[in-house]
Amino acid sequence: MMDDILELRGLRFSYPDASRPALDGIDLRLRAGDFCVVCGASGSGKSTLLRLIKPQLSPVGERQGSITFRGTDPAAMDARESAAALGFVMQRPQDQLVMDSVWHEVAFGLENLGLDQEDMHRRVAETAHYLGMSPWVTQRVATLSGGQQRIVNLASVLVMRPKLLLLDEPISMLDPIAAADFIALLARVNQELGITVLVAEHRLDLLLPHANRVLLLQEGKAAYSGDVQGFLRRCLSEGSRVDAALPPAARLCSGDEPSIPVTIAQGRNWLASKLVSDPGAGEGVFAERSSSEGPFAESTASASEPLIEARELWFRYGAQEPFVLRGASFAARAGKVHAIVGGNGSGKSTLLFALAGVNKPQRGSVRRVGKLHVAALAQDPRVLFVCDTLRDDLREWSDRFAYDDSDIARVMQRLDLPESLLDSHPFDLAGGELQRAALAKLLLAKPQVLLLDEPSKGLDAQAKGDLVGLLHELAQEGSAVVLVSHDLDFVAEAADTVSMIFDGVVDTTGSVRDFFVGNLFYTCAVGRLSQGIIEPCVTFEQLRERLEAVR
Amino acid sequence: MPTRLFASHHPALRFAFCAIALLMCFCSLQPVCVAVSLLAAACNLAFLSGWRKLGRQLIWLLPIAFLAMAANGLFAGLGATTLFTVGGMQVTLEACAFGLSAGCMLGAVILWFSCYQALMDRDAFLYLFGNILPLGSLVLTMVIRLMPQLLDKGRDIAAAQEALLGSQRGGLRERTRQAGRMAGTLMSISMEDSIAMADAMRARGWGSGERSSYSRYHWSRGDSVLALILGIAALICGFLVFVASSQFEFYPVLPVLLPWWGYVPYLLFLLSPLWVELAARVRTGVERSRA
Repeated sequence: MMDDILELRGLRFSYPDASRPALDGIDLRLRAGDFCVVCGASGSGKSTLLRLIKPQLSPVGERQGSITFRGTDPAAMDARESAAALGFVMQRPQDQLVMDSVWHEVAFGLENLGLDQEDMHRRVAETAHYLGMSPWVTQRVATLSGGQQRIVNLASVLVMRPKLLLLDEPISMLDPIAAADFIALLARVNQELGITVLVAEHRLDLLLPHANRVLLLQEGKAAYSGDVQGFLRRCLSEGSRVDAALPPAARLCSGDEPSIPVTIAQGRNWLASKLVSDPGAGEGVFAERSSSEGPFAESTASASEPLIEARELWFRYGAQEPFVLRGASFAARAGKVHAIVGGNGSGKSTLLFALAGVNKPQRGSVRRVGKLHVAALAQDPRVLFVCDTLRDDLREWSDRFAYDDSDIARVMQRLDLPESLLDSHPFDLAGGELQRAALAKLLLAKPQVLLLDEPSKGLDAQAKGDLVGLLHELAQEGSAVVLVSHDLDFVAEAADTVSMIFDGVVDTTGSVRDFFVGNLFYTCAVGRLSQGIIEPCVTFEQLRERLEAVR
Repeated sequence: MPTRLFASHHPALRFAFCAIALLMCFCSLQPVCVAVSLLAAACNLAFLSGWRKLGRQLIWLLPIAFLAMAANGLFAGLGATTLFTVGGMQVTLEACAFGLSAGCMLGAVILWFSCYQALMDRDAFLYLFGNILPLGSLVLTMVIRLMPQLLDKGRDIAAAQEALLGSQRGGLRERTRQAGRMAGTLMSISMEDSIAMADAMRARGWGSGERSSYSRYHWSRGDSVLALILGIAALICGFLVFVASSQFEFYPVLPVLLPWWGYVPYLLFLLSPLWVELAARVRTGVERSRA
């Protein structure tokens, strides 16, 4: 059929020396203008699938079956044609920025195609206008925010006028606001230009509202391929691993619902209709419940003394630079998970590394109780590894912090890291494993205070859930955990208290419930879903319990 | 920083002006030429980048010029006009004049380089030299982009170590070993990132055939006019500077100088960025008053 833009038939692929194929018998047909989401746990073959379609990025290995893009195998296409017609956006925005300034970055692909000046100018200009980049098109790419860099990545493939866009976890490194903006832009490209989109992503809550096709991969096999409602129905009735990644509204439903809500707005309508249709539930119940203390209400006033406390910190990175922290105060107590939230450039990470003792404040002080071990995990866990094998790295501080190989084995087990990884190079570990290995290295030092910078970045739903469990455990054992995050849904699950930092000052500190229930926009998805309909909740489990109690 | 009209001209023209000004400055130690060049460079810098920038430069350039004068005056031992004697060493007018000229020339050269920076941004430079060496300019651009990234990563690595170890760092030997390991990590991270970047480049058609080069500049009629004027002026000034320098010797005694009007064209030429702006303002003023 002429409408088919991409057809995969019986696609099977094995990496050299792999025990099982990375992809096994994948069939997929995309029509022009489709928006297809590829989902599945880490290591299920999503990246491999996308890269096989783009000949310049195809991994080395044994391939069977056929890939047909507009009637031909992309590998047999002219190199320039396939570079332009198949646009590929990779996971990390930084790695794809080749040139120094935005206009040059956007023009880079056109230069490679050897276009003439007039054509290039026209294409760069129209792309910049369309994506709203004009105000910052002359800036250096390094000065842009993560969200802007992502838009530059998109622009620099759109400018080559692709027929199919392949995106490999495009929003996993973005904060929620930038992620939503980027997906809206992607949906516009799909709707207004009719460009077919094939996107691999964990964040289904953001993508499913725009998608019309879903491909679910499980260990390299296509577990589902079809429309969105069918996908939701299947996940809900069978309870698969991606369950936690579904939009929270959908997770409340059972698989036999006629139309499963995907967006928050649909979810609120669904929730309201459930409560009205049920005679036992109503305003009275809501009012009565909300006046009671509630099982998860926590007092903000904590009896324990803070382990580490920042008092009125003023900090700037250089004498010529503006102050990033302007009198920020913060206290972390033993047995609690504290979250610091706020927008880009609000000073979250700066405060975290001031607590760590790396950023020395120009005014104010950081007070610690006694001789504390404070460990910090940076956004990029790779910076913590300095040896050739994971074993050497984990042993690195064994003298200083008095631990031995049996402790290493125990920590590895606790973090669900197989012993076989000990002899591999740390950088060969997969993203989630690498982060757990970094945590292992820190936990071996038995820190009383654990500082984490964006720990949920790039993790799938399963790994996020595991991390939440681990942080709760560590707090129960008496550590103080401080995490800085953009990911409000993760914060809602993981933290006991939340501090919001704005313009270098910590404005609000409160229990997780007070914070998310009190905020109308800057709140977690469950908070938005429940606001004003049912007694406000913060985590999904609370909402489910509440709903069942009311019904 | 205000944007000046001179900076709107083609990069080749801006580069040529800076190069000629620098060359003339280098070629003449004649005191008046040096003074003219220093004065013009200072005016241009104040005009292009503001008084603060000029002040920050002069604060250390002027003491150096005086230091050069003092050093040459004390140790040269040449010249006929003795000013005074310090510990048996004759300090002569000629030696002092030579030292001051040399110091001021150094100052002028540095100020001209600052003017160059104000007139030629990175894009303009890469555009000019990218056409001569396409691959070289690409590599240069990437280096410019990667260096700060590398430094940031290095700081992250050090911070990650410092956060945990804090004050409990080991002795010098342990610290040296640690620094070596951290450098290794930095290398590994950079290598990994550069593989991803190579992928990204190939994905966008790098190496698929002959490249073209996107340019934000084009040579206009105004550029031709200015180039003609500056070219003629440069020839005249070159001649005048040559005459002035060749009839001038510091030792044994300073000669009588050329008449003052001989230096005016040189000063006017060097102040071109100012004239270009002034001419445009006069023109708009005239047009406005006519309207």
